[in-house]
Parts: sequence; C-alpha cells; structure tokens
Amino acid sequence: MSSSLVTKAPEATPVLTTRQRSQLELVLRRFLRHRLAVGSLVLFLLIVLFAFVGPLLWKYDYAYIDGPSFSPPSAQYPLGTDQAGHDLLGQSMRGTQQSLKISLLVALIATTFGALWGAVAGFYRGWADGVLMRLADVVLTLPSIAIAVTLSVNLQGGASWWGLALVLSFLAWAGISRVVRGVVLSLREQEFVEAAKAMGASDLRIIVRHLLPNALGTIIVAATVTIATTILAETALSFIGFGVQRPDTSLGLLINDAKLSVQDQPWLFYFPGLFIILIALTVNFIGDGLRDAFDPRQTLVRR
Amino acid sequence: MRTRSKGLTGLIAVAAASLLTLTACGGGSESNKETPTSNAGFADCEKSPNTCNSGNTKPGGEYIFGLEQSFTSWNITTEEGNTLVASQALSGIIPQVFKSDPSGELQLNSDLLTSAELTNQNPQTVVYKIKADAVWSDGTGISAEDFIFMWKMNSGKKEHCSECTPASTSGWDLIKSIVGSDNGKTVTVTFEDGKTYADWKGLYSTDGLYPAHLATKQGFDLNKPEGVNSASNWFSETVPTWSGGPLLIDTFNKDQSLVLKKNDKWYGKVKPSLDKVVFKFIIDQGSVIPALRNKEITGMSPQPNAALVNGAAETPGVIYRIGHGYQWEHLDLNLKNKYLADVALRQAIFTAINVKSVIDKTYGVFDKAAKPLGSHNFFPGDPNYKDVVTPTGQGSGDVEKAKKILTDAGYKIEGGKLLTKTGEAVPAMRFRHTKGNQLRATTAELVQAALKNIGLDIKIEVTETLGKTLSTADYDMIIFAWVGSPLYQGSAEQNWVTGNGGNYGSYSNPDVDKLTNEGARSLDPKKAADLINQANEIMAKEAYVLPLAQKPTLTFTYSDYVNIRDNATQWSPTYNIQEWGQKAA
Amino acid sequence: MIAYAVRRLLIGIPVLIAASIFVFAIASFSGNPIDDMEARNPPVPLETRQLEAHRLGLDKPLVERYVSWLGNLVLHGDFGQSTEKTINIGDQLGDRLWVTLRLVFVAMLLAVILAVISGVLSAVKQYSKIDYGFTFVGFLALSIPSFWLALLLKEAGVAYNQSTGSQVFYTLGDKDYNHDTFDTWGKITDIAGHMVLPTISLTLITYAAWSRYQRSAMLEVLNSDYVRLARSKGLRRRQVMVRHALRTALIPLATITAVDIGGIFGGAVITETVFNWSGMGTYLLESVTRRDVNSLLGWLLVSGLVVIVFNIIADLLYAVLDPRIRYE
Repeated sequence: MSSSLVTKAPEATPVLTTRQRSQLELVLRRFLRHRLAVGSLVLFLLIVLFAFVGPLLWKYDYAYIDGPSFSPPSAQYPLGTDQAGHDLLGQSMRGTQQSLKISLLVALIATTFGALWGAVAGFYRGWADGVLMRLADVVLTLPSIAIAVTLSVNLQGGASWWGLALVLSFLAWAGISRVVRGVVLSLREQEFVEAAKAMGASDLRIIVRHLLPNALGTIIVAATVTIATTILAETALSFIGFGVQRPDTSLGLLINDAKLSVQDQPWLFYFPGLFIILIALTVNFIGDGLRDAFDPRQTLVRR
Repeated sequence: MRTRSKGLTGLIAVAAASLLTLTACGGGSESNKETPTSNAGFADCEKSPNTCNSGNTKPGGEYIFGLEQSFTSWNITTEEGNTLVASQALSGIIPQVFKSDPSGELQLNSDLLTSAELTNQNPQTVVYKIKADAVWSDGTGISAEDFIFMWKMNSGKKEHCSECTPASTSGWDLIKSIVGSDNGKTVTVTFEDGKTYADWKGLYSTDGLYPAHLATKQGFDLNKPEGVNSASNWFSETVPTWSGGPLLIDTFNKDQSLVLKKNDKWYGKVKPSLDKVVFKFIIDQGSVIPALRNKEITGMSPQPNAALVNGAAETPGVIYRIGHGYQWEHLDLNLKNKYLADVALRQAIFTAINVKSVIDKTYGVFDKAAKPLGSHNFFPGDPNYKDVVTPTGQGSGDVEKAKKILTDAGYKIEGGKLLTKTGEAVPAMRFRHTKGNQLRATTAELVQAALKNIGLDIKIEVTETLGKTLSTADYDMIIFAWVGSPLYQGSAEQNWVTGNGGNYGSYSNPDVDKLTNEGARSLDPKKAADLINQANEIMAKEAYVLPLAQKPTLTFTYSDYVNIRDNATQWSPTYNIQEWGQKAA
Repeated sequence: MIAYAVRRLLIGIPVLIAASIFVFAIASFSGNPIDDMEARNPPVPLETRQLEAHRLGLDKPLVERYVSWLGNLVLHGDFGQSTEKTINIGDQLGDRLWVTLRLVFVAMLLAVILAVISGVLSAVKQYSKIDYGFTFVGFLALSIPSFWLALLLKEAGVAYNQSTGSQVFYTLGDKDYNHDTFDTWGKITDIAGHMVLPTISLTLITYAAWSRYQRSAMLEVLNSDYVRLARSKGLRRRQVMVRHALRTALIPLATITAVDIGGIFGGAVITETVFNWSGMGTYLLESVTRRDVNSLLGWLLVSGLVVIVFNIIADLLYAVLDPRIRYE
C-alpha cells in the first residue's frame, strides 16, 4: 500500500516532483515511526498472504466437504470442521480472501467515485455543488442497511462477492465525497491552483492533476477506513441473511453460520470472528498511522 | 470516570469468564457422542407417544411456550392468518372437531361433539352432533350457525363472501348445503352430487370454529356476501375476547407475547390447572437456548438443528424429544429440461446420490433415528407406508450402477464429462434451494460432489422466492419440503397428477393420473392407500422426485411441568393445552 | 432559529421523496409478495391471490402505484396497505419507533459520555498509558462485528444469571409479558433489566469512532492559540479545559453524532434481532422478507425523518456551543 503511494504520486505531477517526493518521504518516515501501525501493516500483509497464497498450499480447499461433522481442531483439521464437514481452515482462507476482495473493491470504487464527486462539487461550488451534495445527502439519509438489504434481494448477483461489493460501494461513496469536498474547498483557494489556472490548465486537469493529489492524504485515509467498515458491513449483512451465499464463502457467512454454535462448537464462532477483528483492527491502526503521517499537526503536538 | 471504565472492563471480564465455562461445557458434551432422540422424562415417548410425560398436576403456575414467529391476523381461515404459529397460539381458544394425537391418529374432540360421522356416500353426507353444554365464553351455545359461517368464509364462492381470501378452499368448495337441526345442535353437511371429499375429517379440524353470533352482534348480516366479508375482516383484526376452548386471551403484546388465562365457561372434562399460558415470539433462532437457560421460556417446539438439540440436552432440568413429523424434504427434477426428460439420465442422477450420507451430514447430526424416506405419500410407522424407492436403487449412491444405466442408454463419460448419445455434452444443471437454509445448502454441495462422479456439473443457485421459482419451474433440480398430514389423499392428487398445482416439474403418466385420482376420491381409506401406493411405485421408477428424509421435530420443556409432549402433526404439542400443568409433588 | 429549523425540514422533503422513489423502484423490482403464496401447501386459491394483488394495487402500473401512495400519504396521512391485511403501517411504525428510539437514545447518550471522557482524557494525556489504553479499547470496539459482540454479551448475561440464580439480565424482548400489571417501580426495573444488554452492545459499537473524533478535536483545540494564550495568562488548567477547550471540542462531536444516527439505526437492526426486540430494525427485516413495499416506504420515511431531525438538532446545538454561529 505504501509502496504504490510512493511510486504513483511523483509521476502524476511532474511539476511538483521534488516537493511531492520530499513530502511523501516525510509521510513515510512519520508512518514508520507509528510502531502500532507498522506492526499492523505487517500483520495485515500476513493475512493477505494467508488468504491468497494459503489456498495454494493447504490440502483442503473450501469446496472440500468430506470431513467429519463438527470435528474440533486437530492435527488434520487445525481449525476444526463444521456440520457439513468443511475444513474450517480451508474455508477461512477462502472466506478471508472473499471478504478482502469485497472490501478492497469497495475501497477502490467508492473512494475513486466519491473523491471525484466531492472534488467536482468542491471545485465548482455554486449550484453544481448544491445538486451533487443533495444527491449525496439522499444516499446518506437512506439508512444504509436498508438499501443494502433491498438491493441485495434484488440483484441476482447479490449472492456473489462482486455484486455485494457493488452494493456496499454504493453506500460508501457519499460519505467519502463529503470529506473530499471539504478538503478541496480549502485547496482551491491556494496559490498552486491559481497558478495552474493562470497557465490555462483545463478544469479536469486541475481536478485530477492538482486537487486530488493534494487531497491524497485524506483520500487514502478514507479508503483505509472504508476497508475496515466494509468488512464489518459484510458481516452484518450476512447476519441478517443477505450476504455471500454458499457454496462460496466469506468471513461474514462463516461467522453467521456459526451463530448457533457458540456453546457447542466454539471454534466455528471464534476463529472467523478473530479473523474479522484482526483485519478490521490492523486496517484501522494502519489508517490511524496514515492519518498521523499525513497530518503533521498531530505530530507537532507531541510535548 | 475511572470507575466507569473499570465497570466496563469488569463486564468484559465477565463475558470472557463465561465464555471459558461455556467452552468447557461444550467440550464436555463432545465425549458423549451418542445423542439419543430424547432424554429421561421423554424416554417412553418412543413406545407410548400419547401418554409420555403424563402426570397429575397441581393448581397454579405459568407456562411460557416459545413460538418461532409472531402473527398479526386472528382469523386462521385467511391466507394471511393461516400460519402454524397462529393455530398453535389459538388452539386453546378455537374449538376443533378432530385433532391428531402424537401417534398421528385423528381423534374426535369429545368435549365438543358426541359424534362426527360419514352417513352417506353419494351424495357424501357428514353429520356432526354437538354436545348440549358446549358453549362460547359468553354462554351462547356452539351451533350449526358457526359451522355455516366457517363454510361461507372458506368456500371461495362469491355468493357466500364478497372478498374473503381463504388460504384453501379444498373440500369447502364441494359442499352443497349445511343444515342445522335439533336446535342447531345437529349439523348435516351435504356435498355436491357425485363429488367426494375424502379428507373430510380435515374440515373444522385444521382450522376450527368461529363464533357466528358475535359477528351478528356486531351488525354483520351473515346471509349477505358483504356481511360475511366484514365479519371475516372483523375476526382478522380484533384480538379475540371470546373463546370456545379451555383458555381465554388475557393480554396481547404485539410482536412479543400472548398471555392466556382460564376460560370459566369451559365445558370440557379436563379443566386447565395453570393460571396462565404465555406464548412468546422468538424469531431469532439463536435466542432460543439462551432464553431457555435464562428461564424466559419454559418450553418450545422449534424447527430443530444441532445447536437447539444440544442446547436443550445440556440445560439442567430440561427434557427434550426428537420426533418425526409430516414434513419431508425431497429433490425434484424439472422434466421440461430436455436432458432431464430422458428417464435414464434421471435414474442415473438419483442413483448416484447417496441419501444416507446426505442425511448423515444434515439431520443425522442431531437425529440418530433419521433415515432415508422411501415413499412420496406415507411415513414410516404408518400402516400404509411402503418403501417404493429403495428397490429402484435410487438414493443408494452406487456410482457404478448409475454409470451402467447411462452407458446402457447410450451416454458416454469422457474426460469427466457426460456426453449424450449424439456426443453432445450435457450442460451444467441449475440446483436451487432457499436462501439461508444451511441444511439445504449442505445437501446441494453433497449432490454436486456426487454427480461429479457421473460427469454432470451442478451450478448451485439460491432462491429468494421459493413460490415463484417453483410455479415458473425456474430450476433444473430443486430441494424443498412438502407438509404432509394424516390427511394424505388430497395432496397426492395435488402433487403427482398431470398439470396439477403441486406438480411443478411437469411429471405426466396416464396410469399414475388414473390411480391417483381414483385413490384421492375414494372414501374407503384402505382402498385409497392401496391405489396411491400403486401409483407411487410407477412414479418412483421414473425418477421424478427423490424423497430424502422426514424432517425431525423437536419439543423440549422444563421437567417440572407435565402433559407436554411432542406432537409432530400440525396440531403440534398444543393439542392438549388444557392438560398442561405443574407436576404435582 | 425556528425559521431555520423549518427551512431545513422543508429542504429535507425533496430528499425524502427522492429516496422513497428510489426504494420504491428497487423494492418493486425485487419481487412480488403474491409469488410466495404459490408454494404454500395446501395451495392458495387463485381467487385469493387475485384479491390480494388487487388490494395491494399490484394490478396497476408502477408509476400509478407510487403516485397514489404518495397522494394518500400527503392527503390522508395513509401509509397504504401492507401485505398483511391486518397490519396498520402507521400504528406499527408509531409503536416501533418508540421502542427503537428508546434504545438508540440511551445508547447514544451513553456513547457520547463515554466518547467525551475517553477522548478528552486521551488528548490531555496524549501518548500516556491512559491514551494508549483508551485508543486500543476504542479500536477494538471499532473492529468487532456488532452481532458477535451482542451474542457474547447475551451469553455473559445468561451465565451471570445462572451463576447467581438471579434474574438481572433479560435476553428476550423489551419488556415482561406481565409488564402492565407491575407498579411504577416494577415497570422501571423491568424496562431497565431488558434494556441493559442491548444498550451496552449498541453503546460499545457506537462510542469508539466518536471517542477518536473527540480526541483529535480536543488535541486541535489544546494546540490552538487561544488556549495557549489562556494558559499563558495564568488561568487555571482545569478552568481552561472545561470553559474553553472542552466546549469548543464538543462542536465536531455534536455534528458527527447527528450524522451517524442513520448508522446507529442500522446497528439497531442487529441489536434488535439478537435480543428479539420488535423495533424499527426488525420491522425493516420483516418488511423486506415479506416484500412489503408500503411497509418499507413507511420505514424509510420515518427513519429518514429521524435522521433529518437529528441533523437539525445538531446544527442548533452548534449554535449553542459555538457563540460565533447564529442562524437566521
């Protein structure tokens, strides 16, 4: 995540190369000082490996169904099995993978869309701002869970991971657009925007090349937080029966299927729960580290 | 401020500690692998289902029975009101003519009637004799007027009711006249000439009687279609203050609970001993066992699963029993699919599926007595039950046999792909099941794995609307359940005859049609069962529907209460609600 | 100020209408309530299905259905027919809103208190053990799936009751079935006993994010020039904190609290399900499973209205907290 950040930004704005690079180096250095965030990043990457490389190495895939019912954790089934005889380790790998795919896709779609929406609104102000933000308000007014439920009932693809990702993206973009708009509103008054305008840059170029890169800190933090909230939203949706459906699986589905097993087969309830908490926790800490790194005021406070 | 945060961590500590003990608890039960189908207090239910857990009661006490849904309509004849929970909750209020005891025998409600008999075959005539002392809770006698009113609400005829929405009109629509005599205490029901309704015992039994005189009192003219409609709506909307049974509604807390007390005017032999019977609505299955352990309910009869059975078994002072009900799960093929139209492929599919191993991973996990079902109409234990499936080899999981059926019919399996006679690959079949049903999802995965052995791919898709999926036959294979009943004749006709409402997969065989129609109309139960079994044998060979298993039922209660026992029929454990009570010391 | 509130409410109307069109469209496309009757056993007669379809207006074009729904609502305050004939949507919403608001309001109040305390302490003692402790607990609460937490709390409550043989916590419903027969004190303890666990679970998942906001807002204020000035002028630390810093730092919290109300309503869906409350959350789920478009729309309007009202309250609070802001 941090590496893509370093490589992408300088190319995007050649004019500002030195300034950007030094700033990004500063950000990186500040981030690395946040030990909890760095530790979380390492852990998060390990979870990603577990989810995407694990299935290649482990003997049972998620479709394996020939195990015994409700076997507690053992050498053969390190995380135990469920009633149907699925290997929970294989299922957890796949579940983590699907949940991560969902949340990364949501972070990508919602952030891109929300950032553009907010930037356009903030850049033009006036009636365009009014219309765009009222539309965002509609989405924000709708209690998200209701829409998610109605939409996923509707979509045939609601049962597939990408369908769910689309639904959740639809709910996440509006909040991000608000935040980005706020940042852009203050950025547009600064000299470098004036300069770009004076040099005859088009509106689109100003938004994409100048405003968005400078709001990058905010956007990245928003994207990070979106990952964490999406993981939890997916779980909540599964709980009320509107998530990914078997034979595919997700962490939300696993934990939902285990909600009656808290007492009798605790491994089914606690392991997937642990994965969810680990992902959400590490991502939140990474987000916190990034926020501190991008927002020097916080570090200045240190006494 | 500090103290608050401490309180919080304290709570978390409590949570953590309780988890440890619970885990230990769960671990303990693991060693005790053999789950019997019942424990101590219910142990004799296997042998004597009608009398187990019986005993003398002492007066007083409150019994809290959990129901899996809430309900809004008080008129159980309507499409909206006709739910299992409503009829359970109202079983102490609405008088019924017949009720099934736990063994599946329909018993005349001898508190209400002295007799209900078929007196003539053509035209079919049934005579009900109401007891003189059978009265509604306001003292008005139960009479022929009540029988006529029910008929008008259910017949589906515009001249009876302008806008009634009955859940089912079967039987009611065949009645020609209902005449009261002997001061309304004798009721003669005559059916249309030449029409027979074999399941006549279901009339006034699966629903019951509503007090017509109260509707009249409200100003509804029951001789006019609009009046009947208004009366029907009034009964739907109004919380009953009336009763024709042992109990009377005390309070109703919408969506939460229904509290019943004794009906002072109850005319039956056994007077209720409990002060109150409370029905609590528990929609979330995960809440049942915590509520039971917390004594927020004292008994329930929910759809069973492993966690509920274990939870009931592990709660101190609770007895439970797993019974076998009238719902049965089955796998259907859609014969409109051009590949499935070939009987050889259908036979091969059913042969490759091992029903026993499907059961082991689903119901068998908590119900050790679960076994494959061999009939499409009857259940083991019924004298009419005849296993017509096992002899065909279907459900055996015998892959070699399945392959042989296919190769004999000219199919080929090459590179793990099934090819037809013409060398065309058989495309993937869409297997549908209702969303959120874990056991069906498991079945789907197991079938998928089994059919891979004969080179057939299965694509599993959930459905949100089972009704629409079925009625539009939007599936290649589907798993769902039929709700059977001791009254079997009507459903056989409905489900297996060409073009009928329940025959979603378009099965058609003239011999089956003829035998089933004849069986469904016969008023001689023995002959009827014989004909239906003959038809079933033909149908089973043609591999249209593969019965999987009878759905288990579960009933549990704290053992300080007696006379509560499992009843797998639709009359459910509430069939003898007046007998429930605290165990006398 | 009142004029401002009214104006805001009026702006909310088109937003609500747009939202209702949106929900109406997707809900209508998501299926027909009559379909479910076709799989019943015994089968529901065709006449019954037709009568129901007619009652629900399903035999009319989509646009006409929406327009007549809106018309009846505006002219007669009628929410339309539910798929369950006996359900009066308006009455149901009234009952259930009260149940949910009670839960949400208490949980919000506790969450705000918890957020302010932990946020302020974290900020004042930045990078201390207290700060790290609160931060960790906050992040943990932020990362736990809400129903997971609710289930654990429920297990804990039952275990506590069992071990002490008392009935302190309840897991089912929002009040006892004998509630109406209790005296006042009994009623209060009954309601409280049923509320404890759901409230704790909703509070915990809500407070965490707010405490982070409170922390950074407080940090910002503490480093602002005027607080430094106040301190350098020799005002007492406590006085500066409470009079100046805290008051200013509460402003962002007030906004975020109100904006989050939609999210809390969402959280209540889970909490209500786990604890079997019949509030707005379970009403939503029931409506969706029944494919009950009018119930869904009623739910949307009421929840949307609550969100808007809370937003206005937040704006007004803004004015109270920040003397620079005045609404015309």
